[in-house]
Amino acid sequence: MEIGADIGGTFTDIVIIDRDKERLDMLRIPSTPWAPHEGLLEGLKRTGVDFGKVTSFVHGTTTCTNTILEHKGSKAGLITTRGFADVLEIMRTSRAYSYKDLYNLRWQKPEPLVPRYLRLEVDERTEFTGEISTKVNLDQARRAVEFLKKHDAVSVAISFLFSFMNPENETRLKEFIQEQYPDMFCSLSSEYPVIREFERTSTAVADAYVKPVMDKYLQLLGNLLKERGLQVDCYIMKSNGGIVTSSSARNRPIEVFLSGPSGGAIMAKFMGEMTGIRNLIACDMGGTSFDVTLLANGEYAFSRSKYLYPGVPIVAPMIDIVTIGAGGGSIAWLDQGGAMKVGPQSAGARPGPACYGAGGEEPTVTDANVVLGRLNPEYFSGGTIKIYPDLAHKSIKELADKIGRSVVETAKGILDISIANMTQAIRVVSIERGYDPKDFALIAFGGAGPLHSAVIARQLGIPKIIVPLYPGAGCALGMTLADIRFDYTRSYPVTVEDADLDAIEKTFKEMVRSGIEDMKREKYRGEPLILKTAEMRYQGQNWEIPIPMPTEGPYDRQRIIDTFDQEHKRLYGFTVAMRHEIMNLRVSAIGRRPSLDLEKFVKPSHTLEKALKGKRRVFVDEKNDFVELEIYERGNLPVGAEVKGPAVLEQVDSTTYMPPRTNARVDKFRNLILDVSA
Amino acid sequence: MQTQSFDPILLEIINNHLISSCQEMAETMMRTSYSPIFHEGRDFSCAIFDTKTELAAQAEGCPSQLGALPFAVRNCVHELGGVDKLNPGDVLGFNDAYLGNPHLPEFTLIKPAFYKDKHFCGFPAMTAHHMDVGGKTPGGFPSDATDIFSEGVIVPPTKLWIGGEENTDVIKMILANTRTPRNTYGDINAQRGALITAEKRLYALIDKYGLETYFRYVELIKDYAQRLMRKEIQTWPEGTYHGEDFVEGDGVSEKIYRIGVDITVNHSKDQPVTIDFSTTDQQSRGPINCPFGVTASASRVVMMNLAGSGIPHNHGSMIRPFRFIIPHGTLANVDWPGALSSGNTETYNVICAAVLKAMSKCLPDKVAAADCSTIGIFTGGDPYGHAEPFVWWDGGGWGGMLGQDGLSATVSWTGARAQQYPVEYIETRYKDNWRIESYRLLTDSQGDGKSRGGLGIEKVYDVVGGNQTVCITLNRHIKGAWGLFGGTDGAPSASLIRKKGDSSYKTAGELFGAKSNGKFVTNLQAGDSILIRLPGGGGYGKPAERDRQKVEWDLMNRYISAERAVAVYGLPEKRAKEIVDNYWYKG
Repeated sequence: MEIGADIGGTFTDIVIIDRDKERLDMLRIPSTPWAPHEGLLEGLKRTGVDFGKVTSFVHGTTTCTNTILEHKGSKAGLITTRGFADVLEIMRTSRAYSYKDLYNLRWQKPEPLVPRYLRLEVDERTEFTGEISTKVNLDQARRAVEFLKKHDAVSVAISFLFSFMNPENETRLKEFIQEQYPDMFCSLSSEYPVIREFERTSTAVADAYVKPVMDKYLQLLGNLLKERGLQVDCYIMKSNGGIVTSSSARNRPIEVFLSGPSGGAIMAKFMGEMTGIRNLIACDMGGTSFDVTLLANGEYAFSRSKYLYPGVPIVAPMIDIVTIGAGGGSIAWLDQGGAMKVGPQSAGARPGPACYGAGGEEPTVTDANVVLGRLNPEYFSGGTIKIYPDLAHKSIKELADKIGRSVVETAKGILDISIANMTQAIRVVSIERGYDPKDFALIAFGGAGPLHSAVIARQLGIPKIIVPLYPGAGCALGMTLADIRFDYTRSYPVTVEDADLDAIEKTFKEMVRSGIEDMKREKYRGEPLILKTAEMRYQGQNWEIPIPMPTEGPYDRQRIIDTFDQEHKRLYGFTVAMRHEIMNLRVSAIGRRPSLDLEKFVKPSHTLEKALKGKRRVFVDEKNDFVELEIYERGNLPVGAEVKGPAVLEQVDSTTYMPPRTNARVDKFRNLILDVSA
Repeated sequence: MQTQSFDPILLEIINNHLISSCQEMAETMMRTSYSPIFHEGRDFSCAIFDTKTELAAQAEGCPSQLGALPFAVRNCVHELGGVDKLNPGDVLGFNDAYLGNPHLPEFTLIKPAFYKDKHFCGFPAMTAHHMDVGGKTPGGFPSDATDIFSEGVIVPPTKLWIGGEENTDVIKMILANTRTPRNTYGDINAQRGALITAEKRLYALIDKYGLETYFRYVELIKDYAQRLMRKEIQTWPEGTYHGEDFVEGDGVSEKIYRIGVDITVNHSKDQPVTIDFSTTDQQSRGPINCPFGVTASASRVVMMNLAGSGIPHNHGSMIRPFRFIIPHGTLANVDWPGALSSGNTETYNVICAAVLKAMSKCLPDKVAAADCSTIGIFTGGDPYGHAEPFVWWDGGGWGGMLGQDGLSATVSWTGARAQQYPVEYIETRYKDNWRIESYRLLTDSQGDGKSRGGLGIEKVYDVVGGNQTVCITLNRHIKGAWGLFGGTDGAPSASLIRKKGDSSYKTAGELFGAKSNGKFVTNLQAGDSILIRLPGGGGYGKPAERDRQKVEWDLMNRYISAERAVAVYGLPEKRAKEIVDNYWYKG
């Protein structure tokens, strides 16, 4: 049996795959953010799983994200090159990270995660060439660590200038600390080897800040699972789409920052393989956020940096996921000038939307869906959460009166604005990256995804939508399927025209060797898949484009140049007669894990007639009125069934709304394939 | 119940679409430009203008450029004979500072957009600060220029592309006049590429909603912003408020120049705010003068900051409510052919500070004390133009305000989106000439107060090779940023030089008799170092009223010295010593 367990902000989802019995089951219970393992263990108990029979256990966690966003990390110190301890606080000296802050005199710089008195300097210097002109002074380092210990710091980040060119001084200091102060946690900036000292320091500091917390949590969880009889390692989902054992995750916990959403991206990749649809945009809409990932030719893109919050970047390979504050709980409001806005504030799980009757009074996206009849008040979350339609109506009426519109017009407006925001997020990953949405299919998941996906797809000209069998548990399913993955980077600035290609191959080989060793440590038995990439640009530019390199040297100089030119033209529409510059070399080592043949899991049973539950009046935009629509139980739709929109398909973890001129077909894996091209 | 004559939902969607089009324009520029001033420094700004050449939307860029863009677009189109003379595929460009550009390094490119090649529907436009435009020193800021001709090549409004074809003769003429022809050519192309990005987005919007709805909503968006701004101004007490601040030295002398401003708030007027610079000094010989657009731009930036962050930035909020009186021949409205290269970077900030000072009498709870008001423009390069010039700047402290300390080490709030270059980037790109020795917050550089000012920075650059022309333009090197309501002034800025073999730093005056210690041109050789300090922000309210815990935190973190904690904030000496002994690392 294989288990994927995703602890989200609102719900904890568990997916269990039993290949012998050809069963796929899911369970969803409320999360317990104060002690995340409690909800998880309770959920596992309810599934009745026999821990002794579990062959793989993968966990997605929000603990890293929450520790940082809620400022609940450990006391950490920072040791830097003499003269540069303030880089962390000076940042890039810029203030406006968003449109609304451009003229905001009261904008606040984020507080550095390490205060100034715990940022200490030592003599050392690495030059831009990587040459070490001053060795790290360990006497000074000893005094620095003693000082940090005196102030109860339990963790330390080390960030030296140009350590991305040569990590020697940093590793020397780390070895020294580990030897002399074995209980001190240590994070190095050279583990994120990219140019720009602030961004690298920020990453090492964030890592040091969460490390003791993550260490404790993962150790506790591991022990509790072991006590219950789990025989295998607990694997953790990382932001790069790979999994590692929890002991590896404890070494560099900042790399699990996007743990949950990465599971969604893997699920989307799996869907692509299963259905043969190679270009996909994965849209995960939950209670508070909307996460979007684009997969071109079956692969998601990576981004090299992300802001933890405005002004605080981390640089590490991560799946390129764009997140905005748009979910079922997003609140609608009017600004002073009378324009309506939706989000980013969310009613969250408590008090939740007005229709929960738990004290929320402000109208949310969920309330709008209830008013428009799109959500079934009797069957929300399978009937486990009670919905009060009159409260939804009341909350929206207040807003409607202010703008002089009817309740229905206002509810529709809330959805329109929310959809415009989500559409914009999709534009960021597609059009802004040079992809035309018309060439893609949408995968709609998360509890609220399938409710809005058809309208979003139409606005962007996306012809097709895939709604997986269990949209709510999409991320957890992805985790059960994720590969073991390590990424390595070396800074290697050189022009292709002048490069010593043999030396490049040598650098690649060193990284490949690390990959093979790390895989062994992760107890991966097979032959890992190795991917090599060169990050390139035209000389003088500053934005590199990743260019795949052949698995084995020797390399063809002209071919590297041609590949780059083609990619630049695709992205920006032109090429330039300038020299080509390589900046970084990257290697990914991937330990493939078995995929899933879902077709085998499908048991013939239901009929279309049996799936039809009844009828309900639902607002249909195209008619500008309520129309009596057929309501289906999604789980009872047989393979091959076809449903014509307008209609509503309900299931325990989600609801799919089909506007007019859409067709749904259940494919052989029981995915719903929505054709919205008409 | 109030009824609106427009659809508030569509208003939001169209407004967001226009803003995000500007943001996409900026992304394209970041990714395809060649000069670090764009991809590391982000010194450019993007906007869309409507068919009346009124500002419809803008992205987060540099407020000085954004504020001047409306003048630049209007004048450029006018000079070229009006919209009737423009055709699909045209790209207009110019840098003439006497026709609306902030100064010569700023090239404004404008692309008239014709929907389906026939319906004129507005202009995507971008002002971008190019690395070099010729002139007497590399990098565009000859601190001792006395006329505009020594500041660089002057390009009048021109079509750089005509009907989609590059106007090669003109572009070659421009490139022949810069020290960076290759990069500048790439950057001009990147700028055009960015305009095309926005143009396509504009057409997609019209595809969806039709021309008529688009035109109607652009008007509505401006009205909406105007309504919000008016509503805000209605809450400002009526009256006339005077403020002033000073530019110290003009590069050819250490004379002090006054920026004087009188602001009248009158709710009943169509333009409820009048901004009058009649008390400003006559123009200077050195390059600290401002064209009209820069002065108006600075004033608007302060007003937008005081109005709060929820108001869309367009013609309705930024242009309509304000009337200007700016006499010719003054520092605030220079007459041709006065020098003006650092007006846009230094005097601009002082104008903001003077306007803020005036408004402190009107809105004492909303304003801040003065900020660094200088970005410490530090430019230069190889004197014979053999290597790439550099254009560097930095952040200083912001002023304290009600309930909030000023930010440390942040580019003046008047120049927002620009950011400094990483140390590693400088040492790699300028490896033959420069290395950085240290980069720190400067203890005690803040003005003290109940809310203290932010700290300035100190950065030491070493010349490691070659001969470098260096142009310094710093302000507040004599008197620091002013405090408010009992808060004290921040520490002044400084630029000090240590010649090879010397043990200490000296001022430019001491070293070679420079006329001004804040604005000068000199040459440095390998082994020389230059130390630059940016000022801290002014304090707000009486220091004695500062929260004790905050004083202790400041001392603990060495933001302030023990002397300051005791003498200014009244921390008991014993406690100060305790903190220093316990929390100050001495290593």
